[in-house]
Amino acid sequence: MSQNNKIIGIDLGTTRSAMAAIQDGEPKILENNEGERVTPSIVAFDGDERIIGKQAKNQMVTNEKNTVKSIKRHMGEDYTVELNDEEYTPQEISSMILQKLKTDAEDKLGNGVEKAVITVPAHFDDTQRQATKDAGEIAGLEVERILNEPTAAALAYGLDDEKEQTVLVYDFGGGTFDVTVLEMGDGIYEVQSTEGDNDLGGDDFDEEIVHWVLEKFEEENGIDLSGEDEAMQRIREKAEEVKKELSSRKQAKINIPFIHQEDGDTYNIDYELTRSSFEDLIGDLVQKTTEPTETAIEDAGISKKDIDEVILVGGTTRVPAVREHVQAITGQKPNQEVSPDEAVAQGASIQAGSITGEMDDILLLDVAPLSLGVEVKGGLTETLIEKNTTVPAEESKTFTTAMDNQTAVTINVVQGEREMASDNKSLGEFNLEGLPPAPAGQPQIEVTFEIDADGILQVSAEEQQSGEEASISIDDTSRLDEDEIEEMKEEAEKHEEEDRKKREFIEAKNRADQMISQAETQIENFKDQVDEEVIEEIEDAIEEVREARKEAEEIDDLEEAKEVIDSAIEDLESKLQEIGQEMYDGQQGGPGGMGGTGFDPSNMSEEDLKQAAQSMGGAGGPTGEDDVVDADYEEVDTDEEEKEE
Amino acid sequence: MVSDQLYETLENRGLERIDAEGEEFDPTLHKAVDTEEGKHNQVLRQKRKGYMFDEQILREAEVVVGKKEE
Repeated sequence: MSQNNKIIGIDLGTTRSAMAAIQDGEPKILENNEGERVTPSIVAFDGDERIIGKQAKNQMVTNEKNTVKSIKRHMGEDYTVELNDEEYTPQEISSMILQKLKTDAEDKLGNGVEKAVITVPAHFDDTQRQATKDAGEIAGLEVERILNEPTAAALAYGLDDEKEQTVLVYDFGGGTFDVTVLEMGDGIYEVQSTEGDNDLGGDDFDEEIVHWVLEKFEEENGIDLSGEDEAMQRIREKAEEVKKELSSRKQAKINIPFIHQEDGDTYNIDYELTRSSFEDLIGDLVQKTTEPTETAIEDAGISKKDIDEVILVGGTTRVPAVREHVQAITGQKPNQEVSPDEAVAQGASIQAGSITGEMDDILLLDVAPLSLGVEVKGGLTETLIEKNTTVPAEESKTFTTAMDNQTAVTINVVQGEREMASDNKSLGEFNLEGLPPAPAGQPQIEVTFEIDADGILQVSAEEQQSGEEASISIDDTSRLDEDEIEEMKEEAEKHEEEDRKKREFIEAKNRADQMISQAETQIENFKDQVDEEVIEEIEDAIEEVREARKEAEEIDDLEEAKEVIDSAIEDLESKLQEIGQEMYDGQQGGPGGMGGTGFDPSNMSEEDLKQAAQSMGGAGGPTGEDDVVDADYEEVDTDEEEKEE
Repeated sequence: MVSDQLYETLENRGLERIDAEGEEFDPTLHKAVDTEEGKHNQVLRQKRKGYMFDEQILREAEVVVGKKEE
């Protein structure tokens, strides 16, 4: 493989970013031009000059207005930040960080870098993933894959993927906490559940130390330093150092000379913080990771003892108290073989290496957390991609029109488990126009849902005869966040019974409309060939279905209402079969012709299907209408699409 | 003095001190810890020396930077 095809792995973090590439068959962290293994995710403007990373951090206090950090928190939002009198989107800011990483990687590798695998938190929704991908493209990087951070970490830990196992990834970074349960086996990695706290990180530990110092100083000297920028800056810095020191030592000195001058006196800070006092300070913060961890385990449908491995990610997991806590709440001694702040970037490079062939193939799979579908006639949800389907996934179903000469259909894409589309979240909608005029039920509109490996959803619709097409990529409307997903799952459970009844009632109404329209077509087509008496009977039956449909609307009990419609439909069906019978008797000279064995629409060609759709009422025969409709839904995937114009 | 000798030895091996006093603020070499009214973007005072080794920054010089009052 030529060096130019190199794909680098990038951990685009909230506070810090890192990159890695496969070198000599091993994932290696690439140092930036400052010679450091991590780059602060900070961007600043000095006039027209862009400053990224460490330098941006160094100048932050002189230029707060034109410095932006933690932009990842706004990824995928409709949000801009003003720098140098210009508005920038989170994608644009992120692209500046990525561009620096790209350029530095090129210097390091001595070759052009055009492609990357970029990681995102497992809870990132479609919009956030798309925004991350966009950031890469703006930076001039072809984003080969958007990869979940915990999955990347698991790759870096090189867990034996031949064996099926459950892994808990505990990722405690500078500004965020994430916990994810992964299922791995046969080279497949699936995210089972993910939880976290977006406002909890190692920076909060530093703040605790800062407060401790401030309180102690005020107690001793009666002076409040919290308003003095320079003093605060120095205390903050020292706090971070001390925190790190306490990971390997039992106590650390906080020594800051000349912190304050007043009335000719100079004040110094010279304290000692023991590890156990530090652990008291951060106790509550560490405890805050308990609940998300337990929820993630519960959501994955497992218990602690099912966890085969616990792995640590993020610099904050270097703190011994954090490790002990992880062990306490998971019942497992965490694996800490890989440098926790480099694991994600390393894993991204392993995935990159598997794409270029430098590493063995790895197949990575995530799951769709909620079902995805479209709204169909009567406001019902027709699901195309079931929840927990592993992505990438592609599903198609064929739909048709609900009215004669319908020229357009609206495809409303929804996410959720509820039967009524309006109870689910609409992700976006689009129209498929220019349908050739045809009777209801004849056009074949194939709707395809495609979720790619990055979790990005593409929905397309094509009318088979005319080839008219339309599609949507879900990027403007965000999919649901974790809380919303949970809420919707609960709602769906609560309303399951009620939803089912509603669905059955609406389906009955739809069937009634369909039957009426078919019956009328039959009368039109065959009125010269059958007895007038039969025609009249059918017309009466049609009228009864209409009446029943109206009457049913007044009935509160949906099951009862459905029965009313169904019995009217049954009556009409049997009358229609009489027409069929008479016709075949007349034309084919005996019973048992076409109707005899029934037909299986799933084995029919498209042409046959269209004819069948047109003459269904008449030719139903002994198979029974229910079976035909069933086959329509389940096997041939034909359904109605509501016209909404 | 011992410390001078130590510096001399280290400097011979490639250690460089970063002296920021009076320089224009440069975030590659300097780290701003505070700002004060003064000549814009100029290092007013150095709080802590910085060091480089082999073109690589070990620690930036910590400085107070001048800022025009707005």
